[in-house]
Amino acid sequence: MKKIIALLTFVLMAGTLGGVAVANEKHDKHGQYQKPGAPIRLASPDFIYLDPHSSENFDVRFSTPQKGELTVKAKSKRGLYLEPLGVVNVDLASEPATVTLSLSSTEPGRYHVMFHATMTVDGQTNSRVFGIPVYVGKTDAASQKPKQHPSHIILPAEETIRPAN
Amino acid sequence: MNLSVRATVLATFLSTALCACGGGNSGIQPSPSPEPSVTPTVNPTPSFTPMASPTPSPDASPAPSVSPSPMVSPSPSAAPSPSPSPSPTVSPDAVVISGRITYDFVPHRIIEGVYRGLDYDNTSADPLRGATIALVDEVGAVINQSNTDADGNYTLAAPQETPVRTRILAELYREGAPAWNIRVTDNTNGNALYAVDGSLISSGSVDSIRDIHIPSGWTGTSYDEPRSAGPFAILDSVYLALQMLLAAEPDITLPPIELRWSIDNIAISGDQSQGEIGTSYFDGEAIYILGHEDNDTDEYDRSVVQHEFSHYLESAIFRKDTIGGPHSPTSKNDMRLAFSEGLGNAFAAMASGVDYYEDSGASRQRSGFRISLEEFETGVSGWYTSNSIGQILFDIFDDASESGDDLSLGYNPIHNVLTSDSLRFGNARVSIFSFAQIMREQNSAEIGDALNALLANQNIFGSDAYGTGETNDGGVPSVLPIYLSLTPGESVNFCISDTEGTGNSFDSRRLIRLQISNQANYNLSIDRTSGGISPNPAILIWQNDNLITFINQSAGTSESEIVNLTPGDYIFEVFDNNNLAACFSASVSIN
Repeated sequence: MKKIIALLTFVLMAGTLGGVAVANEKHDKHGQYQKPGAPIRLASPDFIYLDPHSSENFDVRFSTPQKGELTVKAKSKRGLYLEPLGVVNVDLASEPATVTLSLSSTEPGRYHVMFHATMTVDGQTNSRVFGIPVYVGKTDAASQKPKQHPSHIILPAEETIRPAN
Repeated sequence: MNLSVRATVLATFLSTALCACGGGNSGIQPSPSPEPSVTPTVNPTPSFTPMASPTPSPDASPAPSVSPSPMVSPSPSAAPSPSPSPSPTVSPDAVVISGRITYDFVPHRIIEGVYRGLDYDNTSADPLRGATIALVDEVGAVINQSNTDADGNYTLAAPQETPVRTRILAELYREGAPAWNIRVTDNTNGNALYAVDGSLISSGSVDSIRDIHIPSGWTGTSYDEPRSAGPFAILDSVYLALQMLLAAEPDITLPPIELRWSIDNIAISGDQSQGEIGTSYFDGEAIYILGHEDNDTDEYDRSVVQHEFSHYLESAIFRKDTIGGPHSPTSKNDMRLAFSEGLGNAFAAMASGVDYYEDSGASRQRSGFRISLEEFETGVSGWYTSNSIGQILFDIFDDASESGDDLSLGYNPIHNVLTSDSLRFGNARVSIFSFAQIMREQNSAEIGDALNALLANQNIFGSDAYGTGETNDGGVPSVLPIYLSLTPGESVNFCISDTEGTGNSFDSRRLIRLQISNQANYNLSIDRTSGGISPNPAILIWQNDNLITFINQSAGTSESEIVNLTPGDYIFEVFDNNNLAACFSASVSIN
């Protein structure tokens, strides 16, 4: 009998705008050639809109061919608040596997809800991180980044100079 | 000092395991970004004493004088010789600036047998190998350029009493044969090339040493400082892979590739220019690497970088038939995907000299997972799992000879199969079956027998490139035979489904062999016979590595098209756009 242990961690953080693209599953040879990970992914929603100073519930659905239990741990950061906090168990045997999040915010901006999933299937443990962008209030993605970019990104380093012997 | 000796020194460069010509196409330009916060440490009393005349390298070229000087060949070793490349004009009254470049490398850790992610406490200053390094003036113009050697050392000549700085690019570059152009860039900043600058300081009148260390930015509990080492850790992972490729094919020529990384690269799919790359992956043109701390960072996950580099190699010099998409080591995937992913895991392990694949992540990067390429840790095995493929390929490579593993061939024979015309241009889709068949053909019967034993160990029994005779159906009988056969005037029935729910399961697509004897217009058709509420079939027609046509015109449960086919072997690939479980009938007839 397969034993599946799954752990999900929610992490809220400030981030940038963006929609969610589904991996190309058609014949197109330019599909994503991804790194390995736990056999779980986000089914819906692609993104979350939230009005400032409001609180709403959102059903987040996961897709996995495996059955078992999923544990969710939530973290909140300034500006966006998430419940449930702590570890939450999600029954992957239910169709579809769903967790209901309660989100509230006081500050317009762009955030992320991140999921850290660890699953053990047939003795093999793998993990996967994925997330949902959360837009609070109206934000303009186009204005967030300068259009001109340098040719080089110069990073700092530590240098030691001495005469050659 | 003897001028001829000094001139010889100008043209002498330290040998490198990866010798790049100085003409790197990075096009070093002045960076409009602010001056970096470099903290140089200069020894007190910088009254340099003239150095003794150095012993000329036996490979030294004649004095360059005011003419561009050719690069000097490296010391004889396995390293390829560089092709000559003109250097900027350098006065005979020059000094030598040399040094060593290192970067913070963060290893992974195992605690009480459990994988625990990155081990910052054991960060080491590792040499930055093969990277492009230049001396640039105050406006960023290149004075001289070379690359670091296998120990991170460099030597460059500069005019005396001239303000210069060292600039290290996150780039491996070489022209000629072999050749490569590998860059680590920032996809959140217009794919700008990462670099590190030393201080702008006078070259003085005597030789000097300028060492640079590139820090990770980790301050104990988080990345509170700039993560300068990230791009260079990625670069060094590719360097290792390149070494293995060069040993197998000394004159290899690779097309340019960018590895795009940013601290903002997060596991959310969306706008790549904002860092929303979803995961680390190769998209057919560039490699994207995650970097968002406390979620998933991959710059220190050599396995991940080299795994994705393997996908690039499939596209560049092997053959890429995989349909891509989500997968896990034990998922039952399309055999082309399983082979591609298993190859990626095994390639990474081979390149790094380890027997596992590992990927860190989560808070403080203290979690993640490790996949063994040596120990069979799962009960799922077969032609459809990347775990099985990875273990087979690694067992071909490694020195360890456990039960059922009598092969210790290294990487070269694997490379020979992957770059063979038989695999690259053959009609069979790339899978463990086609790989094994070509390996049997290229090697002795004894090796073939040992390979068959490895395959059997992983419950793989197909006897040729088309998996003929395979009996492992993974619990889904409809997946066998691996290839169906179709003759003009006849039809064949089959069923497809989507066990993994990802559209790339081992039962999501069916492959059908078709042999055409006479050129004619043929009516190709697919019709649903049962199952599925509204399946929408589509057909790909392949001949060797070429896509002849894609038939996907109808939104209904049938497809048909008249196609002119010349004599030869073809592969029909049938799938359902809606990923539904359904059965179909395929037929071919002369129109």
